[in-house]
Amino acid sequence: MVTDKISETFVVPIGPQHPALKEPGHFQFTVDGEIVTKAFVRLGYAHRGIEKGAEGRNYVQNLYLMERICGICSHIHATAYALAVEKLAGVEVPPRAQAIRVLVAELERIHSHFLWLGVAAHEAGFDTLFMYTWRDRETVMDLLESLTGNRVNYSVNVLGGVKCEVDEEQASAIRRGLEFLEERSRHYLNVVTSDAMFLQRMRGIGVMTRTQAEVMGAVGPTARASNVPRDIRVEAPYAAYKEYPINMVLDTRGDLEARFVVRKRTV
Amino acid sequence: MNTEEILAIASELVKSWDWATEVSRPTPKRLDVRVKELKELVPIIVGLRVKRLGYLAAIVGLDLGKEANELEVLYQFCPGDAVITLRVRVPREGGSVPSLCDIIPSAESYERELREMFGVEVIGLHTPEFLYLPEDWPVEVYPLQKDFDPGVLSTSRQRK
Amino acid sequence: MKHNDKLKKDIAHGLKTWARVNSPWVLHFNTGSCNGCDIEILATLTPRYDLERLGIKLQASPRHADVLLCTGPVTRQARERLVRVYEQMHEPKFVVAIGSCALSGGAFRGCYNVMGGIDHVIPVNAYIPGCPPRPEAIIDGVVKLLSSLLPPAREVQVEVSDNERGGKEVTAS
Repeated sequence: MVTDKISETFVVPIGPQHPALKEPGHFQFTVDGEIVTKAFVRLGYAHRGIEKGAEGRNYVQNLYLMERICGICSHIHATAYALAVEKLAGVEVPPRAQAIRVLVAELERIHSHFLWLGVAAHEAGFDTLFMYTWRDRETVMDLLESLTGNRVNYSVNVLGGVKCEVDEEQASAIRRGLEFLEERSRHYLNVVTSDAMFLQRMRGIGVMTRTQAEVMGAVGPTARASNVPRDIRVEAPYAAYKEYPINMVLDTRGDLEARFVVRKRTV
Repeated sequence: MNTEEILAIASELVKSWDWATEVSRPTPKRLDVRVKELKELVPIIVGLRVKRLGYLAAIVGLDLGKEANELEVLYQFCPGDAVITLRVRVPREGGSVPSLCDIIPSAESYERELREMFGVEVIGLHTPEFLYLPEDWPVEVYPLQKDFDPGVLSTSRQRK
Repeated sequence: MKHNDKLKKDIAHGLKTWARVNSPWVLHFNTGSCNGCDIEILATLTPRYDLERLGIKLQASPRHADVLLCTGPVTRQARERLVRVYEQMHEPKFVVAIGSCALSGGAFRGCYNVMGGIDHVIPVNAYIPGCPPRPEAIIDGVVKLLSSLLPPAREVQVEVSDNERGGKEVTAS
């Protein structure tokens, strides 16, 4: 019996229905063993025509439409919209309102990073970490709910300010919650940088050098993980970020592990 | 370099094409450049990139209306705090801009969106397929133009 | 003999219903939602709300699932895939539409790329409103769907009357 050595590449289609994907999208990865040599992306499954929809709605309706661009980062879309409209209208927002916007935005960042950590761990096969991080994320969700009334799509913004207030009791609850989360974050940072099995799946994988990140216009934690100092809260502080400055977290390695570390340190 | 210095350098750079550009500073942090000759667009952008004046933040289309019969394409670059905007006007029917994909790879998705939403042809685009619109979208129907009529879409809402 | 066959069929049906109700396997599909409802579905599977204690397991393939948890206003691009996923599921199958976008298009009703609700495309068995619905609401909706599969409880008439010895007699029918 003669067998020929097969050395063709293999195309793995993923999505739009896939357990790993929470949002629909179609990917075709051409792989050679475990190395991805080419990728094709088909988007448009979540294209709802919001830009055009916004043209037919008034400014107040648009505030609530903008929140629903994304369920995880809903507040920041609404804040960006509110800031833009206030700039156009020449309206000055009271400093306390700006501070409350920043508070909710940072709480949202915390819940988003915990969510990301859990989902990324789930994709890597580390379901325990997924369950732990999402359990801890519930602390933030409770804080947001006591502050704003909803766990997701908390419409804190109105055009010209915010519609919720933070009293002493809520402030102390937030402080207690944040202390708990800080301790848990340190633990997860430790897990992510020292668990040998997890590191095998992350160290040296998906490396993006600083030059590549700059040429491709990467932003956010992905850019900062490749040592590109780009953080809009530092470079162009909006809302109350001038009064409450942020430390930029950078990492030089540019691989998957660096992206985990940057997000955890940011929290 | 602070914002003022960055914008001063950008302004000087752009003014070297003074026959093709109209420069203005609408706010202290913004530099607005109207590029009158389309063929000077890419050299100006290369000049900005060489001086490392910002990453490409967005390519936005703007429909100026049926009476004006023009579309405007805005290229936004963000060095730090500042925003440098290059504006180009193209005709509504059959307008085209050169692609930036070879200089700035991240421009590809913006240019694909520009093409499918506004109908502006992008010359030199590597992947001209639809990015966001579905495969069964009718041809020559551009959703983000002001006179887009949703009635042209087949609304087959019957349950299968 | 006929009575035996009917008895066997009844027992088999009861067993199948018991299995379906006590351990439905779900498939999640997002037809273009903002992801808020999907995050709440995932939160329902995590330790605080823990849908798995009700026997509900998240499956990967439509062919392994009983229940389709569907979110999102159906976008044109996702419509065909939704129909395909629905057809790939085996009978009996149930569809749960989660979130106001899935019910009627929600905030996106009237936008050009949106069909406006899942029941424009496939038949839906349960609707869970909210933007997004809380995990408790999702659990409530799923439990209601499952209880509707059980046979209705038999109504019992109770009569209390006097008997000849001077006491009370209870008859049930």
